[in-house]
Amino acid sequence: MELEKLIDVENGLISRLIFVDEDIYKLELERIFSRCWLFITHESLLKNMGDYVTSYIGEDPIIAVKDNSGKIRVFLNACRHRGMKLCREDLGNTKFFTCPYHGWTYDLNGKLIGIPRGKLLYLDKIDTEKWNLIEVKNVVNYKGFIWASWNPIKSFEDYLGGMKYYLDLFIERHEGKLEIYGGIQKWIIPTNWKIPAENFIGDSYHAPITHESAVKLGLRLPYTDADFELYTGNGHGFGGQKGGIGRNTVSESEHVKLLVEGIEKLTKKYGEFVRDIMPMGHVTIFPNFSMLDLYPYTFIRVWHPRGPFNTEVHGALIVDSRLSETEKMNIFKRYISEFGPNGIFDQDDAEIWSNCEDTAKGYIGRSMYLNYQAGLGIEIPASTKYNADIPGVFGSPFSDINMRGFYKTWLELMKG
Amino acid sequence: MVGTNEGIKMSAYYCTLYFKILNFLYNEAKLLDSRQFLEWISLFADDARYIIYAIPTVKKGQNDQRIILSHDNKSTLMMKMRRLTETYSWSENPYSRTIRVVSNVMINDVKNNLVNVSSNILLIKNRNGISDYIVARRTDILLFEGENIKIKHREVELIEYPLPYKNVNLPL
Repeated sequence: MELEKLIDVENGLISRLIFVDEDIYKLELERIFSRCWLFITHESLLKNMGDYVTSYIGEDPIIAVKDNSGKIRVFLNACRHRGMKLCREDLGNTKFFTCPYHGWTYDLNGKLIGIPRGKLLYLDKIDTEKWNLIEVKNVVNYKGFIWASWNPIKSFEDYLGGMKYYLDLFIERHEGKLEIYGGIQKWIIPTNWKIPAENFIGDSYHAPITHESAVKLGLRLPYTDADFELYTGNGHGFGGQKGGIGRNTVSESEHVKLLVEGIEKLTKKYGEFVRDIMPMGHVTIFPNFSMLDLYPYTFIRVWHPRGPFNTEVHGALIVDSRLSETEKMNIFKRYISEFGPNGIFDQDDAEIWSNCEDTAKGYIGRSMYLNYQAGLGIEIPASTKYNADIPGVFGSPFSDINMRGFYKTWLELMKG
Repeated sequence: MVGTNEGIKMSAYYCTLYFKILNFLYNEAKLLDSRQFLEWISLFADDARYIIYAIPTVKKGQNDQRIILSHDNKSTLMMKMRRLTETYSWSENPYSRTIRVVSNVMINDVKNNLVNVSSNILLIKNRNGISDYIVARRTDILLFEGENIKIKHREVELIEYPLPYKNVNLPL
């Protein structure tokens, strides 16, 4: 397969084959999902020893568990004996993982500690050390956010590149005190995982049209041309309305006060540019972690691939843990009314993403190239724009710059 | 959550009440299937709550958990329903064809003019050659004001998780 023919970033052309082709998809699982740093969970979901959640790395089911020493470990969710799924729950607490098939038992470190009739079957000759759970060795707890990679192409911080600076700003805004609130919403959208990931990295352009109903309902002000798109390298980027989205659609509250104070502090410490780019708006960290950071709320997303045609979305509200329970619940209510399976923004996004996927399935449809030319050639280094030592490159308002970066990174990784 | 109606004595009173409730729930489904979303709102009491939950899978013996997917009062429901009728509500433009099958209706408890009723609902939604089947159990607290019935509280528990459909944009 000539991968170069699929992605022409210089001219802003992307082949639709990448959204539907089975061989490309299989290659993505190998070259992207086994080599990138992927978001696994947030430490606030794993408070006690033995707390675990199940999720995925690509299509591989995994367990993330807090071991006896307090370390978060990530294992392939499959028994070494016959491959039975060890945890069929979404979350829970346990002392051991016992396989329901033949009873092989592993401790929280993934160590094989029990084989029923082991002596009879293996005459004590089995080297149990060789049959521990398959562990994702590279796990990083970055300020509460847990990331993992089977075969990382670089260290986590190098992988984040310029995004590290802005992710740090976001976390510092809350003095590192963040938590997931209200559990994880999981649902399946019939679309390729890249379609929502590219939407979240840089598609401010769709908001006034796809989400016009939200403007009519007063949930958003009419979108202006004062938009920014900041590409931070390595396939990551963010953007949105300058000065943040939704400031005038939230009433004064404990949450808004803390958020505004946080932004003010950052502005004093780092410079005026902070005011323009905080809250961050839409964010994607390549390949499949996204965030939407607005005045009313901040949520995170993982787009788990389910074959070329489906995406399992895991979404969760992330809040400042210093807020009161009542305030967290108020933020949560606003969040779920706008995002998640019942959210009015997500309802319309899912409709559109699934239909973009559908029209790529045909013979002619998949041979088409799509237009990612918005703002082509306009790139302003962030350091020049703000005369500050900050990473990244701005595109013009509503530019496709972040998507072009996303697909450029995709191509580089896919080439191996 | 779901009670048992063992305490409810079969009687002429009960039968009349049961048929009134059945008629109310069927009429509600009919309103929604004929897209009379704003009329549907008028079935709710002013202080009504309407909550949709999803239920993650946990090990037997560990506490059941519920994920809130929707938490509405009458005014937020009104906002959502008004939106559904708009051109720019792409998830329902064009409209889907729907059928709501309501079943297993049981009166769990009667306290003064408040009746606790459970039911199951299957919402079948079709458009563009795709059918979504949204399956849920519901628990309602219905308020009787003379011959008038209002929904005071509704909890909907979707049985699927992860949800195998792209959205839950229509009322259940």
